[in-house]
Amino acid sequence: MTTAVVEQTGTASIAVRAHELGKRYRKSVLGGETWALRDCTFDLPAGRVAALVGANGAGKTTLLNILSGLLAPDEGQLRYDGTDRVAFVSQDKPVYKNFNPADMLRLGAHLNEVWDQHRAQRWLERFEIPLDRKCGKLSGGQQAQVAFAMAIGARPAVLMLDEPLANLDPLARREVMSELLTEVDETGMTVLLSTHVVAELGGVADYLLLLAHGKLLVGGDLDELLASHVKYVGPRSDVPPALGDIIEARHRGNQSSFLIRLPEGQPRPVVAGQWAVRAVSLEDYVLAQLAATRKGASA
Amino acid sequence: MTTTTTAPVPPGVRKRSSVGWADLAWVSWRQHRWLIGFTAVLAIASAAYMLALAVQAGEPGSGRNRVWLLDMSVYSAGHLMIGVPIAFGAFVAVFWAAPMLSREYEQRTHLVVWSQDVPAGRWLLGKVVLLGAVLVALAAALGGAANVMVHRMVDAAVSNEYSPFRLFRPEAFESVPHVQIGYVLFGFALGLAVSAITRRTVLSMGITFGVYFVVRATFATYFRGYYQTPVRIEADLDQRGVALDSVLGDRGAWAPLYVDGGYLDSAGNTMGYPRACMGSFDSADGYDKCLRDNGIVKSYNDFQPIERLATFQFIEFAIFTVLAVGLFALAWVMVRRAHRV
Repeated sequence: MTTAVVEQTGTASIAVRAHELGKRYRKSVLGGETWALRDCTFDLPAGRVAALVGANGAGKTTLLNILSGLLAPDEGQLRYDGTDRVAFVSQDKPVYKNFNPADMLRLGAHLNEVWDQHRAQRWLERFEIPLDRKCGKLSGGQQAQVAFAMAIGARPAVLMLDEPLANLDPLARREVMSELLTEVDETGMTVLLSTHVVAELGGVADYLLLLAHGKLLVGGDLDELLASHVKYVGPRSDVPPALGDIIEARHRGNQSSFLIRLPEGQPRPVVAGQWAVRAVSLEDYVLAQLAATRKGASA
Repeated sequence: MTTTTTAPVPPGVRKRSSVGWADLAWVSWRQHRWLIGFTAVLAIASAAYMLALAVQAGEPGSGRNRVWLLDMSVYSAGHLMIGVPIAFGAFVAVFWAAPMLSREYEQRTHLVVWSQDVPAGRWLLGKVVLLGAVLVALAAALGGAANVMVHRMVDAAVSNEYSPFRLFRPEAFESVPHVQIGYVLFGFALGLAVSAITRRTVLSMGITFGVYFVVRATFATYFRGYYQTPVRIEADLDQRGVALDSVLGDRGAWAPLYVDGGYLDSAGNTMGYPRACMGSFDSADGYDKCLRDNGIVKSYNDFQPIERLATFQFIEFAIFTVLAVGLFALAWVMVRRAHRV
């Protein structure tokens, strides 16, 4: 048995191409519309783990619902290169309460053209989920694992997870992320996950999509994004010690810190005196971007 | 530039070209097996009991005998059991269809089933076809058993000069397989459409019950008598009693469906009942004279002859089946649109 695979030659293969996606909602029965998502354009490379971050109401769930085919966009185009086999686990991690986990896997097997029972079952065993207990009697975290197992079993080309870490304890979060990376390594699938727990993304996500107020603020390779930013910490000052776009300026007591986007094509400047240069973490970067959009500034 | 290559399916991975009907049948059965089982037991037991009543009623004079299991006569039990097929469509509408989609929305499980390889529209089509086939079979069984029971009781009653059923009255009219199938399809489609629109289970069940009851009652009360142009008998005022008897009198189970009656003027126009003739009169002639003084020259009676019974039952089936198709289409469109997630 074989399956068709479309590969791009010359450039990195793209799993999802979104072009000016937009979705509007009615505010009320009487009329009036608001855009939940607008002008959202990005290419998501295949085989990456992409983080979709943004404040509450930024449009993350709307975007995931559109990408997973559950919601039709009001404008723009969406294209899956290679295959459109997409699995989606929504924020609620819904399962049929009167099914047991084994039934949920059977449901997945019956409703999908491709099914990997071994992989789905392995996920449940890894997280010690009893196969014969009704899902309604499982904890929220265990129900989430059942939903993940069903999505993994479908062997998607793109796996989309809306807030996958909610309902999970800290250890389970780490283990889920680790298992996801294993799945990506073994299957080559692309993962797109939305989360508020930015700290948990370090070492996992290698691509970032940052939404604010229904628009895509930042999209790109995470290492490149972080390398193009720098953080200066030093004595209180109204201006940073080197040129660049100020993403965030913080002043506490007699100390100031600046998160700067370096000018394109310029080497990282050397600063002297009492200023120290710190590498920008993913959490620093995301929080600074979100704070900037909340203040109404553009990044 | 893109190139297409083929890659081997990893070991242990099952791949096929499409999801089949057997898969959708498993999903429908696994989700609704208790409801299917309960309904099937209820319908088959009721049908069996009606057939048992038919056997008991087959012997002349047995209509007043006590029946098995129930402390009542064969005729009373027949009237009681005929309520099962009459209520079956409402039961399906309220307890099968009305919660079907709204429960998926409420428990958010629509996000599970509609994000698999089977499109939402096909998932719904599968449920409608497979569950609909079960319901059609059960409705046909109930309608068939009820029809046998009614006719056995009617046939046996001829010799007893008492008929427990009149074939054109609703309880007997509706107790035939195809009419029952029309009702159950209508109820199923109505519940699904309301469920898709409201997305709330309790609300959906309430609205479905109300609409089902109103539509069924409206057709039975106001429309059924006019599926074909009624036959009219006109009579002079002094002959109107004889004329009415000639239509309705002493026909037992085979009485026609009385539709309307009233008065006509000399030009044949229908006349309202004159208020001046509402008082009491010393004789029938005085009453007739009052009518004539108010321009009335004849009475009329409209009815549907019993020979049209089968045609009317087919029309009833067709109307409710067409309504069902429209409502199924509405539910399908609503599910495919999936505007709010």
